[in-house]
Amino acid sequence: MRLEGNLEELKRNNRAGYNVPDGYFDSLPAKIQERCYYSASESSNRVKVGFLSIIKPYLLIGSFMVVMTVGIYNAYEFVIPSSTSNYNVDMAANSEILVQDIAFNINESDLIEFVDEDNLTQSIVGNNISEEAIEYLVDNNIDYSTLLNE
Amino acid sequence: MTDYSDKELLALFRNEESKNYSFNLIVRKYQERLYWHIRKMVVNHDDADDVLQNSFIKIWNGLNSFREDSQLFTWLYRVATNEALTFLKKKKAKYFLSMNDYESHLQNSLESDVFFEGDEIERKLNKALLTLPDKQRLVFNMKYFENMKYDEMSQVLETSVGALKASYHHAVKKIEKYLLNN
Repeated sequence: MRLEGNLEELKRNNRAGYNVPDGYFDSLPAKIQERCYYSASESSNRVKVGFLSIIKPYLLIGSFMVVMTVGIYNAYEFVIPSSTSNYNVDMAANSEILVQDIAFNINESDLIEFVDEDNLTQSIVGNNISEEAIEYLVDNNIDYSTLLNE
Repeated sequence: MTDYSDKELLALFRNEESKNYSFNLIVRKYQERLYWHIRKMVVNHDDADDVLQNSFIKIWNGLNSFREDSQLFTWLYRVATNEALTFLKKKKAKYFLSMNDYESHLQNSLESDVFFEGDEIERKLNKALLTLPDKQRLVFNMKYFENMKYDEMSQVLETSVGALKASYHHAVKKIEKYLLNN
């Protein structure tokens, strides 16, 4: 059997034997039109409420996360109160190290220059030199009379 | 009903006042051709009805942006074809059907279809068609039943004419083999 030759003979119509319920094509345009209106109104409604309905769950999750974070932080602080004081101790230790570091790195000439620039000699002239300053000048064998003369 | 050309229908559709009227005319003009095109793919009438209505909703939503690069008829066919193929793909995925199960599922649909009124030869031919992969079946239907030219098919399916000819040839061979063995 050569089908390619006979194939045309097997064909009755373009429906291939299928059929439809009576009046199907008469009522179809109205059905389609109705669904089109419905889909159009549905999509326009979706735009109106869509933004809020999209945002709402994220807002809820966001606020829940904030509340949880604050709650956990407070609970942690309540249970382990030393955590902030440890921080303060650390800060104090750090500033001490910083002061030592600065003192180590500042040389004598820098200090004299600083005193000179800031007109601190006036206070020396007025004999208002603090005990610490005198002590420092004596310890380092600095003749403060030179400062007075300048 | 006045017979409008596709260009006139499109012009009417772009006018807000006559939009609904022109869409109604487009549905009336093409509903049968698209229905039979879809029906031969999905077999069952209810499925074909669903796919056809969904296709027209997509057409309604997309017709404003249709740029007339192709003929209206070609575009409508493309929408309907894509919708039918997507429907079949979803069906396969939904029921986890293998190729053999899928084939027998479609054959059962054909057997139980109350709106199939073909004779024994048509039934056998349809069964043979259901053994083909979806796209090959599509090509065969368009060429054999719908008498479409390869050029038109090429525009609808966005496939080269050569590939379509080869696909149709393979389909015919397979149908021939099926009918000889059954």
